[in-house]
Amino acid sequence: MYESPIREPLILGRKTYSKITDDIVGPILGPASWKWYVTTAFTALVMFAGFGAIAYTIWVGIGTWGLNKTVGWAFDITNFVFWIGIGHAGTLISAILLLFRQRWRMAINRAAEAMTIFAVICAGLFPIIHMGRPWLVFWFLPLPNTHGSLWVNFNSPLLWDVFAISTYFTISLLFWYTGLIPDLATVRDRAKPGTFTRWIYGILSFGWRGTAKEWQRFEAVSLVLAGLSTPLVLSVHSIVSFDFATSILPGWHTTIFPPYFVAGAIFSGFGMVLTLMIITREVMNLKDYITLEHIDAMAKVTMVTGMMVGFAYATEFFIAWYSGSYWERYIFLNRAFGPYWWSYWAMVTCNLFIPQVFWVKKLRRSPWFVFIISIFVNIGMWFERFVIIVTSLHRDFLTSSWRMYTPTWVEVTILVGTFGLFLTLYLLFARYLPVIAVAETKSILKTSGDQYAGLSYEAYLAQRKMGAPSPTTVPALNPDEPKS
Amino acid sequence: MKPFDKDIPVEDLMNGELSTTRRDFLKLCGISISAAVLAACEKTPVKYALPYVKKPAEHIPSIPDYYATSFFDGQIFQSLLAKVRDGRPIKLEGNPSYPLTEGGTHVRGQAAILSLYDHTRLQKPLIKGQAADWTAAGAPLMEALKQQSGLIYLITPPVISPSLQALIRDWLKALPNARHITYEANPYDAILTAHEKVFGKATLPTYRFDKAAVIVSFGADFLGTWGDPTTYARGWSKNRILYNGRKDLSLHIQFEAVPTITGFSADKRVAVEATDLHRAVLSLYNRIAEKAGVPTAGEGNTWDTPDGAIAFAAEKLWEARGKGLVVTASHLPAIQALVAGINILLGNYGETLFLTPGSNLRQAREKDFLNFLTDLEAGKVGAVLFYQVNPLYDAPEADRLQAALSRAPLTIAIHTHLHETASACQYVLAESHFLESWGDAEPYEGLYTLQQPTIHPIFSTKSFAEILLTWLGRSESHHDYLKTFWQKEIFPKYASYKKALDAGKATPFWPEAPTLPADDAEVFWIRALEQGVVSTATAPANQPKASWKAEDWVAMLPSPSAEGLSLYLYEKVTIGDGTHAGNPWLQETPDPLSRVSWDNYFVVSPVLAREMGLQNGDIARLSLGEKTLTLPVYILPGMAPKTIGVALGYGRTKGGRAAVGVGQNAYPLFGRVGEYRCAIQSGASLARTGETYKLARLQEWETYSGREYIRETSLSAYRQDPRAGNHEEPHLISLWWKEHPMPGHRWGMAIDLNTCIGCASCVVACISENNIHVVGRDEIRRGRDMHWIRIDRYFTSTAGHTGKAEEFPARPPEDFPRAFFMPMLCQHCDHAPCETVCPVLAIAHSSEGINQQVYNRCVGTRYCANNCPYKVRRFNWFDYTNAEKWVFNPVDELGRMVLNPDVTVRARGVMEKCSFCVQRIQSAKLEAKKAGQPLKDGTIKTACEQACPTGAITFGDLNDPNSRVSKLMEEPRGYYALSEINTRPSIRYMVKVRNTELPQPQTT
Repeated sequence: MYESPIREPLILGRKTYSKITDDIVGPILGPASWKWYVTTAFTALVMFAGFGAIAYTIWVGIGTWGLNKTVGWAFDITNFVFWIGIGHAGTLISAILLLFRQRWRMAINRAAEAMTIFAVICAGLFPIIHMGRPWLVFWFLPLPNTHGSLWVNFNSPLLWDVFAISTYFTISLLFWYTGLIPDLATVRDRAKPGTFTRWIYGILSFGWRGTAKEWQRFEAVSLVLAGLSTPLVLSVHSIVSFDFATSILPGWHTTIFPPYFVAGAIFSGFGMVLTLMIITREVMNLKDYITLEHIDAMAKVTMVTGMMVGFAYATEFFIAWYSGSYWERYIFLNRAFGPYWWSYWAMVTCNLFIPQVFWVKKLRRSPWFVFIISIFVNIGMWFERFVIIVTSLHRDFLTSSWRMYTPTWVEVTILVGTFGLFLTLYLLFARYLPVIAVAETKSILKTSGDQYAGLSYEAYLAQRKMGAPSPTTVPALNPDEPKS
Repeated sequence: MKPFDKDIPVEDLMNGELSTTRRDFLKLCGISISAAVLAACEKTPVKYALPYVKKPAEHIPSIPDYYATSFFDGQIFQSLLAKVRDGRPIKLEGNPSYPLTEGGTHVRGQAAILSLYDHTRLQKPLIKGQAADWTAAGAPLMEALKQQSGLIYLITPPVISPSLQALIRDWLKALPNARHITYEANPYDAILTAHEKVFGKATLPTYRFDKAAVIVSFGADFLGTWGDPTTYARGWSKNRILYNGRKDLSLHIQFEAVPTITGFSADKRVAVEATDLHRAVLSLYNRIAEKAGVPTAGEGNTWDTPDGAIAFAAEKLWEARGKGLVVTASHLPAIQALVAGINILLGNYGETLFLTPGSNLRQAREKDFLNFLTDLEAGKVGAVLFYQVNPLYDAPEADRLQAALSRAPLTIAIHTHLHETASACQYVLAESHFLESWGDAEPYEGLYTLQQPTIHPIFSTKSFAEILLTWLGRSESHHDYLKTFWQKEIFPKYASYKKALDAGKATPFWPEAPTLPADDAEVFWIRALEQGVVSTATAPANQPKASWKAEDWVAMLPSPSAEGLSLYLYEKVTIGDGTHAGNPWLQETPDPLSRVSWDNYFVVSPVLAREMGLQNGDIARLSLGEKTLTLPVYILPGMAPKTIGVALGYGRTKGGRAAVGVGQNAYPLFGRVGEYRCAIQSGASLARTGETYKLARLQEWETYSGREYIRETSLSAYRQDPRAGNHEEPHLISLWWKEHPMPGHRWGMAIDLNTCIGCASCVVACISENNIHVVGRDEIRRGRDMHWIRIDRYFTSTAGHTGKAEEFPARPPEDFPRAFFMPMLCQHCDHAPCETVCPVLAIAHSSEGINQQVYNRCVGTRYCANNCPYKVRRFNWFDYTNAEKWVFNPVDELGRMVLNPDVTVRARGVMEKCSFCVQRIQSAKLEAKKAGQPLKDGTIKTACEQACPTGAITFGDLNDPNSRVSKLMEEPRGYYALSEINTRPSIRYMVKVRNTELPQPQTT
């Protein structure tokens, strides 16, 4: 067996097509373990606690939060930007890596894109619930009406958010779902006829039959959607950053925000993908698909984007000094040494210093270590948004406005609740939908002829019994593969 | 060929065997849904809107009428116009015809309207705690009084109403053993005694600050709480303006222990220990005596502050002999007499202060109350009548009074609220609010104002005069009595005054007082009611002769112990002596100096705080002899290091919705020197208790950190260069290719930092005009007040240099800083940062330059508030219209009658801010349009402009080159706040010019 010395195989374990289907689709059709039930029940509980806190907020008022006349946004918009940022990794993996023909994306793109959709759902809660009158959220939509027509304010970044987030959600959902259709058909075909499972997956797969024409269209649509999604990776978070960059507050009013936010989004998104994938591969026995190579590559992306973010921090500090504007200088020194210094240093440590460990290859390829670092990445990125929003608001131009902000239990419960929502949705996804893109993975199974070693040893023996010429040597097993 | 693919089960349908037909299903759906809907509907409440059958010709619904009236609560006198709308008053303005204030008001005058609509008012007279009707409190009660063999005491605040005084005189005649004494919670007996001994006339002088070029005050907060502050502020401000060609400022030096708005508005403020104030007065007297060539007193004591402030004051006063004014708030006659002596030596009497005409605003002699107490304890008192006064709360001897009151067989209280004293009385006669009553006032001798009711009494109440009329067995109404009194007493005085003027035999003492027809008493009465003001005082007025001997007084000077800390009991501008502690507007308006609302606290100096390791909010216990008081600490820069200040008027146990449970009562800490209450005590000690309390602070950072929105200069620099202290804007480009077109009016405002004294009248006026919610202490602690205009108070910092912004860290305030008051409201920026960021276009810029917040479009994303660099936007965090939850907000059934119908009451989740009183602008434009006249400058006054006693705010049309505000915009002292960020505000501030050299850090 000739193994390419340049790169490791993308799929380990000498899988066959049917084995791939077995590995990925099998858990869907079989019973779920008790661990899944317990975990989902727990996350659902947390989610409902969050919903309760949201209902309380909407019923009683934004006054149940810790906001005041100076700090009008804190946890609400921090969480919003946090969740939207997380979503960007999925889109990058799905779309940009597709256009760049990075075939290693196949193992992670389905779950990553699902993660994006769930993150956008979590994020989308916040623009609605942070409003003083959320029942009027439809006023954000530019619908022709009989008031003249009364339009929305197209100059406002919050409105651009509406377009950006809804576009992002729509495209991501379409892209993800379109890719899911062949896999859902696979599940349908594997399910026992006459069962409810077969019926529901049948409906969800829109009658996919896997003809060549269908595949051709599938590929074309994927390419188109990838082409549409790619600019979204850059534009959506740029627009979210405009919520701050177009304002006049020192600390917000800076042109570095779009690239800084996009880099930060990818950074936090990859952090979350790593968190989820490491658990998923462990629990669902998908280590052959989500290999150490994947973890290695994602860790590298994390570190690079982390360093871009760190560079942005340094740039901000430099510009604060170079500009000579005392408003700007005060804000940055206040961030690092003022009353919220602890959040600033948490941010810098988690985002800049901690990911530097990924220079060491051994650490990059140790899944549990990477898992811990990925948690820190997300903590750091949450604090980054908190620092940007709260420290810029709490001390701005007039010193008479300066005051502190403290969250209330309602805001903390809502934040934790969105994690509950996110994880519940992800657990439901992992249980009922193929976690890995079956059809796409199969497409990278045979990247070169000698990787036809998709035959298992048993099948080879069977083939030999049937009279194939015997080779002189027993085929060497993949040295990495555990002897089974 | 079958017509249908499948057979239609017609048979089954016809036989009804199908389990449910579609039609049945729809019927069932329909009926059940309609039933549910009907059941869920509440009966629409029917509200009645009844048109007049016979409409009074002059009253048009929705067009307000203005009635002149006046108000005196024992402390603050206000001549007012009440805006009456659809049969009820909703706003109080100053009466522009009143020559002393020209339309300005005090913060408590603005807030007085709220107490009318207070459901905790007495609604019926009470007899032994039970509601009763007026028949039992009328003739039978007078009979009971006549039966009393013991003394009958009538205790009232200073009675400045001549008609009421006449009634009291008649009543005293009807009851031979009755006597009338005057009682004040914070008495001015010292001034009365001093002037009685020196001049033979026990009266509070009339102070003419407008005639004073040099003012020296020893602890007298004459702009905020002392005497007649609205009048004094108006007068003081006339010599503080530097436009209309003026290039001179008065020189104002303030020596005080506890910072006041007067002290921080002064040119030179000297922090003097409370127990050194008398030394300062004596020293000034000696220096003036030396210059005048008369013998000094008190062994020639010439104590001075380390920077020679007293010597400086003496020199300047002597230079301005006859044009100076020295005042003090001391409670000791010796010190008041020394100050009188200073004024005599300087020749100020008859120039800047007058005993003829004197002021009637303070009349209480303390020994009268002490004699009453002695008589009560000796059992000599048969009946006590407390009219408005509340000695069970604010007398230092409240304990003794509480114990002895039961000895009087008959106790009667007459007041609007059931306060501490009324609760201990057998008869509580519910008094009508001043807005429901007739009356008159003579605040200064010869200057009369009228009081007229603006609403039918809401409850079953009577005015005190009505009660007296009933007791005297007279059947005339109060109105008839008053009218007869005026036509018989006041009209002749006015007629002869006018004759003397016309004949050129006299000049008016107050030339701006309105002229009234003097031919017919009836016409005179009607015109007097319209104007509200009648002056019969002539000038020049001969002052009584002085017989002043220093030796008489020096022996009586106090010699306080040098041990321990001094205690100084002071009054806050908003609360005063506590009469209005139940007014939520006043409790929520922050004290201008500390910016704390809803509590009182120990005011300590940063020096003392450092020594004792105290921080804001630490709870401490003050011990003064056997008395103790526990309060949180507030560190106020400028406080004298060894003095602790405590505000009076808190810690009430009854009397209005917002009074109870707010702060602690400091009245028991008053000491007495002889018969005189003394607000200054020595020998106090302060100890930490280890607990903390979160004060409700509207502003948390004290200094302006050298940032460029506070600009000041000295008078000498200004004379050399009118642009001193100001600077050119950096070149500001605009990315908009077209500015907002403003072809018609363009509204703008000018605020003069020279005359803003931080009194907060504008704040309460805005609250009153614009239906601003009261949110209570907890919300204030969270930084969620709703005030549209605020007075930021900034100190200078320990950085020491001016003109350069501090970078990180911003320094704490100096121990003895200068202070600035900066009214901050929506700047109505032409490049408004809020307008561009609202996603639903709830903010528009009108074609007249107003930044309009559209409440019904606002969805509450709060981006506009985040983007506002001035942080003037306020968000409705909760549904403040829920009267059960927000008990201090006037949104209950009765309280909401104070709301202005022209201004939307905002719902939850909506952003609000100053609108430049757009409702007033629109109604004025409409009136002008109906009249076919162009809009005249000065017709539109925003609420804040109208309330300001010093005229610091000027509003008008910038497109009219002749308007006052346009001229002010061209002043070289003008600047825009945060001009550098190019928001292009419509409000221009004027550089603060002090008549002193800068910088002026001082040490004590």
